[in-house]
Amino acid sequence: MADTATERAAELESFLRERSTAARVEVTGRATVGLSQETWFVRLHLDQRPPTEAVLRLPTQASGAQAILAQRIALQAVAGRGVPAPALLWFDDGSANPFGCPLLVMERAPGTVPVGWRSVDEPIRSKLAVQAVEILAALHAIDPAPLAPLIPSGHSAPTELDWYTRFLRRYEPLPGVLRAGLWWLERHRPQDADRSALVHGDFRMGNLTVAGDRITGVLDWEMAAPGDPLADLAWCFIPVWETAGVDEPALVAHYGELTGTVPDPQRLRWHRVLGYVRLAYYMLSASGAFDSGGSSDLRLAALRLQLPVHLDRLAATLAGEPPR
Amino acid sequence: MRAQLHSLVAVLDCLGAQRQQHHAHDDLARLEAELDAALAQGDEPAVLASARRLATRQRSLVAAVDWSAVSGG
Repeated sequence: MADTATERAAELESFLRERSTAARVEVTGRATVGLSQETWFVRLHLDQRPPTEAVLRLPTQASGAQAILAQRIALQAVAGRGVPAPALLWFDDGSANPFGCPLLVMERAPGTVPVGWRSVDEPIRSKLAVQAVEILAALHAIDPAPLAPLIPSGHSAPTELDWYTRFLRRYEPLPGVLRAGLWWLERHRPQDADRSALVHGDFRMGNLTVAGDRITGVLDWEMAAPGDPLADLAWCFIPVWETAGVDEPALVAHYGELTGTVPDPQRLRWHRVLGYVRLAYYMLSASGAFDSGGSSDLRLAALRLQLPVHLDRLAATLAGEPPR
Repeated sequence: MRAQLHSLVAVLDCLGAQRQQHHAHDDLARLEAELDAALAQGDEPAVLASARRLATRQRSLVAAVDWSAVSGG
C-alpha cells in the first residue's frame, strides 16, 4: 500500500495546488471494508490551521465514474438539511486532474462504523435506531430532482426491481428460490412507481458512523437516486447476518408520524422481498468477480456461501413468516 | 489480512457442507422440479410453499460462518 499511498498523497497535493490550495497531504489509512471504490483517509495540513481529517474517494473499474457523481450530487443536496452527511470539501466530475478520474474529498465523520445493529449493545442500539428513522424522515423530505438526470428515461435505479431483473440475467440460470422471488415481485409490483423521495439506496448500520449514542455520519451515497422512500425503510433493518434486534413495527410507526404518512405494510413487505433479491444479486456478482479472476479478494468467494441464507429468508418473507 | 484469513476459513469450512450437497442432489432436484411446476402453472400458494421447502433444504446444507469476522477486517 505504501507506494500507492505516497502516489495518492502527491496526486491530491497536486490537485489542491491546481485549485490554489497549498496543503501537505498525509495518508493515514485505506478503508478495507468496502468492496467497491477506493477510499483513503487523509490528513490535510493547510497553512497554520489545525490538520483536517478527510476522506478521498475514487472510482474503481467496477463502480464506474457515476458512483462518484451520484455521491457528489447527493452530498450537496443533503447539506444543511438535517441529515448528518460529511461535508463535501472538493470534487471533480471529470478526468482532467492528477488522478485521471472523477474524485471527491469530504470531511471525515467522527466515530466508528459498527458492522451491524447487533454489534451495538442496548440501550444504545434502540436509541440509534430511532435516530436512523429520524434521519430517513429528514432525507425523504428533500427534493430528489438534482439526482434525476442520473437515471435517464427508460432506465432504473439500483433500488428498483427492473435494475435487478436486468443485471441478474448475467448469472442465469438463477437459483429456483430467487426465480420465485422475482416472479412474486413482478406479480405484486406496486402500480404507482414512486420516485418522490431522495433515497440513499444503501441506508443500513454498516454505512453509519457512530460516536457514543449518536449517529454522526451517513456514508456511501453512490446509490442515491429518486425512489420509493419505503425502499430505504425496509433496507435499514433487513436481517443480513442476523436480525437487527430492534422494534421494527414501532420504528415504522415513528417514521409514519414524522413524515405524516402511513407506511403500507404490503408495500413494505414487497420492498423487503426485493431487499433479499438485492442481497442475492450482491452475492452472485461478488462471487462472479472472484470466479472470473476479476478479483482475488477472498471475501468475495466467501460471500457466495451466504447465498442460501439470504434465499431462505427470502422464502420465509414470501411465506409471511416473521424476520429471524 | 485478517478478513482474508477469516474468509479462507469460511470457504474451507463449507467444503464439507458442499460434499453433503452432492449427497442431497436427488432431493434438491425433486424440490426444484416442484417449484418449476408451480411457477409454470402460475399457482402462487404452491410457488410460495415449494420455494419455502427448497430454501429450507438448501439452507440446511450451509455451514455456519462468522460473517462479522469475514467482513469486518
